[in-house]
Amino acid sequence: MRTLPIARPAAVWFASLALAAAPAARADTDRDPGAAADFPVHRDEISLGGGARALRSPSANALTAANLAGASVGIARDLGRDLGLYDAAWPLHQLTLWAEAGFVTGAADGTLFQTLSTTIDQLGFTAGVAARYRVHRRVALGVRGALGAQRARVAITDGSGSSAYDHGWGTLAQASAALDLFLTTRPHFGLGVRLDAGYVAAQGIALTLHSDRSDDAMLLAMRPLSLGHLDLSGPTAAISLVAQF
Amino acid sequence: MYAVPSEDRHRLFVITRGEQAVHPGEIDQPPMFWVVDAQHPGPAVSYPIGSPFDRIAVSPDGNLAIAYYAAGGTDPDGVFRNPNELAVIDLTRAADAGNPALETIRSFGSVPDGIALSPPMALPGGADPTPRTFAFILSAGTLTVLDTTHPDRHEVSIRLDLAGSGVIPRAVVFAPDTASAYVRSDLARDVLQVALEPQPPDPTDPGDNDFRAVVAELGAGGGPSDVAVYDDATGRRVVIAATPDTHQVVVIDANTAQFRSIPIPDPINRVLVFPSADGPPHRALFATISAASAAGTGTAVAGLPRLWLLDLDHLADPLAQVAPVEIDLDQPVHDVVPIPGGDRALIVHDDARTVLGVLDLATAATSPLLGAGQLDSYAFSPTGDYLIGATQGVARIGFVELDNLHPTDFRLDDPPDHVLATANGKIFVDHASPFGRATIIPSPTAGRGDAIVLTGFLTAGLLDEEP
Repeated sequence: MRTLPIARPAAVWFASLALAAAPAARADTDRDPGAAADFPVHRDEISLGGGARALRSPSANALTAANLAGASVGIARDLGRDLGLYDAAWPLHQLTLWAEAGFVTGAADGTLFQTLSTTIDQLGFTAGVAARYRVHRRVALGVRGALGAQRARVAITDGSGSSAYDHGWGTLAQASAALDLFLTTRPHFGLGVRLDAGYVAAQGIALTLHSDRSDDAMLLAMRPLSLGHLDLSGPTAAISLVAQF
Repeated sequence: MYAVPSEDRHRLFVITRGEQAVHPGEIDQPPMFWVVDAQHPGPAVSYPIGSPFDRIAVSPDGNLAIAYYAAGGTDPDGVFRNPNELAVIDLTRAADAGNPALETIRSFGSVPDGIALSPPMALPGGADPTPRTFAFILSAGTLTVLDTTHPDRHEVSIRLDLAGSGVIPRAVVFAPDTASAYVRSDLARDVLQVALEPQPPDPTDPGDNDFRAVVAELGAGGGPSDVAVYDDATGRRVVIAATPDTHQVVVIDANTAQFRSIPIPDPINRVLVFPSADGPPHRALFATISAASAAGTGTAVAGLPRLWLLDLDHLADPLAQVAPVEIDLDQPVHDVVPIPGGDRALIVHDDARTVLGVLDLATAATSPLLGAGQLDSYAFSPTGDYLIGATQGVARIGFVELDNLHPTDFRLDDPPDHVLATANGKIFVDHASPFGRATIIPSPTAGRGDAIVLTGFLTAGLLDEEP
């Protein structure tokens, strides 16, 4: 018998997925009192993924025409369960409330004045809450809001290779909506994919370019002039692998 | 982009050629002419000029500018370009439908090599006593005069065939009191005088001028290689022309066209007059400097180790014997530069600018200076007390106190690219950083503790700018 030419690792992955999903439908025993019968209950979550932030501000567009792209790591815990909110007065059995913390990176390259190379690197730390609603045992919708801080670093390099750079910190606020698709929903472990779209409102970060000097000679007094404020606000899109347990 | 400073260096005039957006996020930018006023910080004043011109001529009073194309070629990115198009910009008023005024000058096959704008000149005896600025547009074989106060009127084209074949006008000096200009041309026999005389316009032609251009040859008697103009103590305008073909220097009374020839054995190609503190100059200096080509002939000229000094005070006296004084030097002259504020000149002896001399015109004495490296950029302090020099790649600025020729150095943090002396006595050392990096030294005698390094001035506030 001839089979479809699926690469062996992919075939194994699909088979594992099917095996993992099938028994999960029968093994959900850890349920919240009052929760719907076939919905899994997990208390903790780890997510790992990547995403992009479209840069729309004039300051960011002055440095690059690209979007910030990078990775993200997040953890979350079912806050409603810890606080005992899921009692009879809880409005919806499928609605859960989570506390989240995340770390996101991003980078973009560009050109300034057609001759200078620019690089923007960004690190973001956020904490917030999310509300998730299970519309199906494998599907959840969520909204989240987070506050945090981000570090932005800008480097500008000329044709000779010499560069000037600076970094700074600023606050950010993020709101997004997410679609969770769970591939497996075992009682003590769930694995899925999260599609997330939202918007980051970021504080403009004041930057003043500096250059390194390799020698230790006594230098003249220096008066650097500010490059201005870098605004990394923009809409975001992310995809991440989510593990719940 | 092309930029030139105003004569007083308080304003900078910039042409940005404009771009049409290519990538998302970019916006169209038309060709613009910008005026940046260093004395009054604020947004630059802009004028849309319609075409990507790449040269600017500014009137001496700074009230008018003309943007035009360089003779070397127009913007290669365009489909059609008109090399004889000009944008006449009235800088005293904001941009409007008539400002800038786009004009195309009549051409006989040539394109502008340069434009000289006159100081405000009133036509003597004319019905309109308002001083105006006239543009003298130089192109091979043709001199075009345009009344920039009325750019809608016809331009006046002057064929230079009468001055010789293949004549290329090179330099114009003005006599505003007589509404005249003196034109030195390559391959011309003489200096041309162009006098603007009033003439009632044709009432049936709204574009007719109220003047005519009267051209006369001033008897230099040979192809002038350099000219200088000054007003003597009586207010008489005098033109000095060097004619290397005849080994003479010709002194011409611009009002009467009378001239006096002074023989000098060397083929002089540089004429300098030295204004004195009390007004009219008293001395003129003549030199034969090395040049790649002479008068457009393609013939290289070797510098000579001699200078000639002429006393100007008695030139008007026909009975006075006028004889230039020869000043012998050790080495050929590559360049001669007047030092501001006194009767001194800097003599550059080689093209690497490593051997210099300071000539005191009062005593005709020269003092040698040796540069450790090539003098790539130099300036004089506004009072003429110091020579300030820089060598690229050497992180130092050199000062020479010109009263006693005492040299000193100032150590910099970065190699210099260009040095400027500002009118308030400060020294601006540019380090050619794309971000803007300059060392500001308060005075030639200041120490390192008094200086500051200004960085990032070319990108200052870049991220705060709105598109």
